Parts: sequence; C-alpha cells; structure tokens
Amino acid sequence: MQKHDGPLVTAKERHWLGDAIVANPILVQAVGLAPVVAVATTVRAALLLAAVTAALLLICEPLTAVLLRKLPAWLRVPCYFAIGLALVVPLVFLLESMDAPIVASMDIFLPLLALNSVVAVRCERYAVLRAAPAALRDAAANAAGYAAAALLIGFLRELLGHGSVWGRHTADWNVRGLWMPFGGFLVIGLLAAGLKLLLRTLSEHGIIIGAHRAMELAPEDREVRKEKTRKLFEDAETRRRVLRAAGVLLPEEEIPPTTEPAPAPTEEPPPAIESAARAAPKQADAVTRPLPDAVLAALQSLEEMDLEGGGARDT
Amino acid sequence: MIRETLLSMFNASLYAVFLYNFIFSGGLGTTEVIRAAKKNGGMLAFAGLISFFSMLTSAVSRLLTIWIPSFETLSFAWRCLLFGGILLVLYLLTGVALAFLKIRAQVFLLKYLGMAVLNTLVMAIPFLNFQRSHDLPRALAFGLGAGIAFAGASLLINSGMHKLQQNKSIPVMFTGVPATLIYTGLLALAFTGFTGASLFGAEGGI
Repeated sequence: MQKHDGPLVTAKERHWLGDAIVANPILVQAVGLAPVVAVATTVRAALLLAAVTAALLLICEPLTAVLLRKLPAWLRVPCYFAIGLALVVPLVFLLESMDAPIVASMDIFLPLLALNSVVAVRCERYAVLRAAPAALRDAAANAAGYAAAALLIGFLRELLGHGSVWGRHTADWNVRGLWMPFGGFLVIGLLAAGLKLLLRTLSEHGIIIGAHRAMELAPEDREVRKEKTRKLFEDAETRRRVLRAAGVLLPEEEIPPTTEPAPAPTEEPPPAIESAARAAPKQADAVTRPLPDAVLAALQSLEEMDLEGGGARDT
Repeated sequence: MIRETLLSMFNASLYAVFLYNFIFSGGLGTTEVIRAAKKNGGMLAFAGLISFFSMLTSAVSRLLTIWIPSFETLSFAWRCLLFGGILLVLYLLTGVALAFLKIRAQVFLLKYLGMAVLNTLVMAIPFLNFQRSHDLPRALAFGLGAGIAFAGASLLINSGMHKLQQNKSIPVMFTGVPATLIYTGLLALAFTGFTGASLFGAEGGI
C-alpha cells in the first residue's frame, strides 16, 4: 500500500468544512448508524434526522468543553441523553399536535433520535479534551458531515426504493429492499467506498492532506507514521506548537509533563489522554523535559486524530 | 400455567433473535454492535450488560404501564418522556451504585455503562413491548432476546471482520469501514429472509 507521509497538519490548520468530508461521521467513522440505517429512507426523514443531530452536536459539544468535562465520564453520558430528550420530546409534542405524517412513518425511531451515538462519541473523544471554540468547530464539521451523508443516503433510498424525490413520484421502480435496514447498510457501505476512492485520488494529487483516517493505512504504515510523530515530538518547539494547535489543554495549563511515573497507555486513545492529563501537574519548565510515555502516547493519539481529520481511531 | 408462560417467553426470545432480529432486521444498536465487534475481548460481557438492562428496562416499563391505569391513553410524546426517563433513572441508579460499591469489575462496568445502557436498542425495547402489548414475562424475554441478538450479531461481525482483514484480494477502496458495512448489510439481508418480507414491489412485506 502506498505510504502517505505528508506534512503534519493539525485540525486547526485545515478548513473546518474539510473535516466534514475527511472525517465524515457516517462514512468514515461509522458512528450514528442506527437512525440512518433504520430511518433515513426518504429525504424528509433524513432532513429531520440531520436537524436533530446538528442541534444536539452544537449544544452538547461546547457544553462538554465548558462544563461537563468536570464530571466523571459515566455522568457525562446521561447528560447528553437528557439534552437529547429535552430536545426531542417537545419536537414529538409539536409534530403530534400538527398531526404530521412523519410521526407515523418514523414511529418508535422518532424518540430514538435523542440517543444518536455520534453525539456521545464526539463529546467523549474530542470536546472533553478541547476548549469551547475547538469543540464548536468540531460540532459544526460533524453536523455538516452527518447531514450531508444522511441526506444523500435518504435521497438515494427514496429515489431507488420508492421511485420518488421529496414525496413526488419520479419513476416506476419500487425496490422495497432499499427501505429496509440491509438496504441502508449496503448504500452506506458503497458510499463509504466511493468517498474513500475520492479522498485517495485527491490526496495523491496533493489537493487535500490529512485524510489518513479515511484512507485507513495498513498497520505497518501506521507504525511508520507513529514513529515519525514520536521523533517530531522530541523537539520542544514542535511539541509546544502541537499542544497549542490541538487545544487539548487550556493556555494557562498547557504544559502537561510530570516527574511521577505515568500509568501505562491503554489501547484506546481518549482514556490515555484523560489519565495523562489528570496525572500531569503544572510545571513551567517542563516543556524542555522528556515527556512521560503516557503523555507522549496521548499526544500521539491526539496528533493522529487531528491528522486523520478529528476522527476516532477505533470507530 | 408455568409451562405455558415459559413457552411464551421462549417464543418471544426466538422472535427477537430470529424473526425480527433487532440488529439486522430492525437496524437498532448498529453502531454499538460494530464497535463491540471491533474489540476481541469483553464482547460477550458487553452483550450481557445489554441483556441485563434490556430486561430491567422492559420490566420497569411494563410495571409502570400496569400501575398507571391511564398509561394506555397517553400520547406518544408522553410515552417517549416516560420511557426515556425510566432509562435515565435506571442508568443513574446503576452508575451511583457502581461508583460506591468497590467491586472488581467496577472500572469495566463504569467504562462501558453508557454505551451498554444508553443506546437505541435498549431504548426501543419498552416501545416494542408496548406496541405488542406484552405481559411481564414476555417483556422480560424480549429484553433477553435483545441481548442474545446483540451477542450473536457481535460474534458474526467480529468473525467476518477477521476474515475480511485476511482477504488481500479486496480492492483497497473497499477495505475497512466499507467492507464491514457491506458485510453487515449482507448479514442483515439474510436475517430479513426470516421476516418473510418482499424485496421488490409494493406488495408483501413484514
């Protein structure tokens, strides 16, 4: 497989809308699939799904960055659900009072919109480690990416499955299979492959950079890239730049290292980042010291996530 | 009487696992299934958590519908609020209990509690029980069936992902997420066969 050793580009240096494509929540990260697979069979349903998800992301991510980060992780997750319920239940009341046909067509999937996993994943993997502006930017990128993918999937399933667009009859075919969840999986899988091909082509021509997550490097390529990142972090100035650009720590506490032995890094990046950040007292001169392994691993994970468009590695 | 109840529970579980598999035929909890399938360890423990909470939510929701006589006449929005509230309260009670009880599995349970409880699969069970007017035993069996369906789906996807990773003839653009999703789609197609649905034309269906 071709290696992609492009320059270090953090999420901050790339246009926020780029993340919507490069780290698309549905087609690249494969999160928030349940409502899309089950509900997004028409453009109308996809639009409702996209609107609710966007509202949830735009509320939850900045709120997590500002307030909820102070809570333990197990207490933050129900907060996202409570916010989701607070948004979805009045919407159901409103739609019911209007006697909207979408209530019947979406049925039990309407309240399930309060539980979109993309919200919890983005909040727990990104917003909890960032300042509010970075979290808001990530929310906007993911909301745009989710909406674009959901609308495209809804459009294709309505056109090919129902032979209509926005409820207007356009063709005589009627492929029922596309309304069903398996049709949703197949459409999403094919679109994900199409996006991957597009990103590879654009990347090879140097039009976009930092699409490594979307292109899913082979394990050996990942190791090469990790080693490269590790070497770059040995330089104090680069380390400082990456810390600032990643926005992981607030300006007054941007120096994370500690003299105590740090816990071993876990398999998943976020807990490692969290434990490393917790274990790290402020030390003004620490930027010149070697970083403990756990902090280094955490920063590497963060840098990789940024390089890969803010996408989570194991989703 | 006991035999009939057990048989009825067995039927409800079978229905949830095969006839209307919540994951493949219903599309519920798909993100969680794929994420669980990516991890080789703890998959069945996670499925156990899902089963437990599906059963607990089913039981509490069913008892609530018995205790509140006017529940049947409540609007859909009120039911959303009540079922959502039940799930939230159960989650918080479990979380608080786990935070204070220093048991061996505390770290694992607290780490995966959110993903195991607050997902579309567990949330949908009370609604499905209500729609189908299930009594308490059947509601419990439905919850158990959800957990079994989750475990089965995780194992199937996990095994498929390993095979797909070893297969070097897959075009690069299909490797990873696209291959996993298409494979899951084909599994879902197989389970759709159990529902007796028609794939083409407006007639037939579930």
